[in-house]
Amino acid sequence: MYVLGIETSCDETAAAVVGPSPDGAGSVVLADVIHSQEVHAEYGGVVPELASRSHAEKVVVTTRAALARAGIERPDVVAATAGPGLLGAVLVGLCYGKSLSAGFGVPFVGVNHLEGHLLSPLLEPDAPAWPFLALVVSGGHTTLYLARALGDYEVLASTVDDAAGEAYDKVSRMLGEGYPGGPILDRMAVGGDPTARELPRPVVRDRDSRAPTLDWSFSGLKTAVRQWLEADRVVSGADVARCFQDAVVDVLVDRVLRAADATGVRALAVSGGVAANSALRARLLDLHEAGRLRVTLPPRSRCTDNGAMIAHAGRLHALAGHLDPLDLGARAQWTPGT
Amino acid sequence: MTASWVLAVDTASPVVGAALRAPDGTSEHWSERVVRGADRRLVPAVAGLLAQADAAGAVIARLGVVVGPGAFTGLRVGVATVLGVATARGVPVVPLSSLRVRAAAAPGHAQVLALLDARKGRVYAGLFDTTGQTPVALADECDAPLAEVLPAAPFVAVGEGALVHADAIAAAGGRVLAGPASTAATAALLAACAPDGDALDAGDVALRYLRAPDAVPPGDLGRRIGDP
Repeated sequence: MYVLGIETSCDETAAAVVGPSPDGAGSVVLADVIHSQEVHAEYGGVVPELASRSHAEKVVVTTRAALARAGIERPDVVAATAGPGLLGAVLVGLCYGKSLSAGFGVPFVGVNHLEGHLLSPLLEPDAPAWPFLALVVSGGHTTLYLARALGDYEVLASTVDDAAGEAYDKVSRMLGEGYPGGPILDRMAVGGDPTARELPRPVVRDRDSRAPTLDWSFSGLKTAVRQWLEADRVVSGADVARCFQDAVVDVLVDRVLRAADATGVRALAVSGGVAANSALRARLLDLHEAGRLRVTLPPRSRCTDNGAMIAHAGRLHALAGHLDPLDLGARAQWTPGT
Repeated sequence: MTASWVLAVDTASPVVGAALRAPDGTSEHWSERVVRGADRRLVPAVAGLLAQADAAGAVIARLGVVVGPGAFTGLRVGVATVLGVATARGVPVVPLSSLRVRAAAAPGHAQVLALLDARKGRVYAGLFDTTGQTPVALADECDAPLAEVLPAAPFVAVGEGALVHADAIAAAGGRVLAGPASTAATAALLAACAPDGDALDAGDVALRYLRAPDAVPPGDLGRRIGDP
């Protein structure tokens, strides 16, 4: 089964084709084409209307390129992101994908964008076996799932305010740097002094028992950076980036380790744009080599939004008989597995 | 006129529609007033018309789609839907003006003012002469306050915007005409009549918003906290 996947939930217009692996047991990416929208940089963040306009301009050429590279004229199934995301942006890819399926006369699957991320490590040679912990960490989401089976996901932890990638963007802006902040601060942090300042590692407590939960909060960390910059006008940006990044990685890894202890599940799959962060990757690989976790880290290109993860998730659902009607609507909010 | 099957879509206003036009000029059409979730209704309707054509052994040779002006999200729902069919079937697309489509439904008038409500006290407007076979534009289509686009009387006004501003149009000596049963059917007619050069590859179809996004770059970008 060859599946064409379309992704337009934020600022990447992406299309990909996923088919059977040579042994037939898994999936393999035959083509993965991404058009990254650069128009948002001057606004310091994604502008929904600009994103939607760009998707409408690029979705045809992106899809054609994916089909041509895969050598496929007509896929067996069309999958498209149906949410969560920017509603106007989702609608472009969803309408296009649904009508592609009608035009080709093939079934359609509407894919949850987060589930696409969550399942994308299954495309890797060292794919985790079920059950596994899935950390989806990006500019829009920071959630840790216990993935028991296809469609069976339990949220173990999530952010109560900013997503980790969003915090990166905001700190980058405080430093007068560009957008997106993740890769910029990642590069700046290399030369920074990790002892320049001890930034907080925020803990979210249960409202009743006051016991620490597994959830994250990044707004306090962001405020601490702001106060630091206001108090010290000559501090190096590299030091700020390094101390901020260390704090973010510390709290992400802390919750993962606590969740592994609580569930007894040691397999961890990481995805989302922040999964491309070099410090997070290094820390997780250290834990993998130390035997504390069995970590699957997709290549950086597969961490950010892409069409392959949508085609792959769509393929798994289609193989399981989970198809969607053409009146499927777009959803701005949507928890995977619901 | 192209003697072939044409499928067309119009989503420029809350009444969205799709139509399938046969070579003999007859058409099947669907339309519905949709406040939210137009795609949930439109794509199944288009799929139904495609299935109807396929069952008749018809080959759709051309697609028509209204590319603007109109509500941004609504336009993209229609255009993305048509582009999907065009990509899958390898069929060229005739992009159409929402205002020209509405003017075409009022033939025989020297001045037809086509209007769509653009909110914020403005209209999308186009002025056409419809005494010939197809509408001829008398002015550039624009996004403007109604008072700036009213022509000298006599004129007729069409389109959903004309209904919104019926009193002002009457005061200016205009006469509001009711719209066609299906603007998508009119779009299919115009697409069928369009010269071959107007039929574009799906990758070349562009929306015509007539209005820039509201976004303004923030003034503090590139300035570090604490910098003067």
